[in-house]
Amino acid sequence: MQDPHFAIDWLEQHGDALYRYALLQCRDKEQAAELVQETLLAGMEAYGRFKQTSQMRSWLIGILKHKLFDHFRRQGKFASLPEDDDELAAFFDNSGHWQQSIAAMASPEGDLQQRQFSAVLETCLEKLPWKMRQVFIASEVLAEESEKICQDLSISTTNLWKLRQRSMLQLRACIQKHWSRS
Amino acid sequence: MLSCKDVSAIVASGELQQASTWRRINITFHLMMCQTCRHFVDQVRDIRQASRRLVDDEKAPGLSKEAKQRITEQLQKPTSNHGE
Repeated sequence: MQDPHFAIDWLEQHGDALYRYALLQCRDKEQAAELVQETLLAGMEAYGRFKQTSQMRSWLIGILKHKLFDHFRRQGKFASLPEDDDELAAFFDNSGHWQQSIAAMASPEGDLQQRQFSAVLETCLEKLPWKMRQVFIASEVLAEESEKICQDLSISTTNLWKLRQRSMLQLRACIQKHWSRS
Repeated sequence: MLSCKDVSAIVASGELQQASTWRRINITFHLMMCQTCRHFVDQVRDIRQASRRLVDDEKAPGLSKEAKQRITEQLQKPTSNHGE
């Protein structure tokens, strides 16, 4: 069962993808590499339970996700959940109109611009509060099911909608500021 | 009548896909009249497209050589040394 050759193959084939997944969420290169290692070790132990019908990479990402959430839990990320309903007041007036009009923004065209745009997106993602960032990554980057996200983050559907709205509003504002200047 | 706040909530929360026909008509109507919301919708689309690329990007930096080496060594250790 615990043949390291399997795991070394996984490292070759999926290591970078697992690393990028972890890095996107924890923003710490050392930590991300550590999580990949933990994932592969756990994968080696659990290989007997792997069903050939599922994709190897998704199976490993499933394990990585558990490791990641354990890590977040240890950091106490789930403990506090500040609820601030006034946040939207920065964006809308009492009648629901935009406080500030939004100017048109050029869409990124071609490889180079797309790369620059992604860099701006990542910079702005880092500025979001933890929970909003998690919600954004899960829903927009990883396209996970809403129910799954609510379960993972222990939030209600209504809460998820609010967090998605807020993260998008903040992110958009940040991106426009940085993208227009670049 | 939907407000800009409503429209942004529906678009940003991804609820649009599940919205009723009547709601969609209302949104279309609002967008016809509201330039800021039109810009918002366009930009959300760009952000979503870029977001999907973040994790699929095979050219993005992966594990460093050193990290790979370290992990390989760990994987080759006997199970009892894993410490868990």
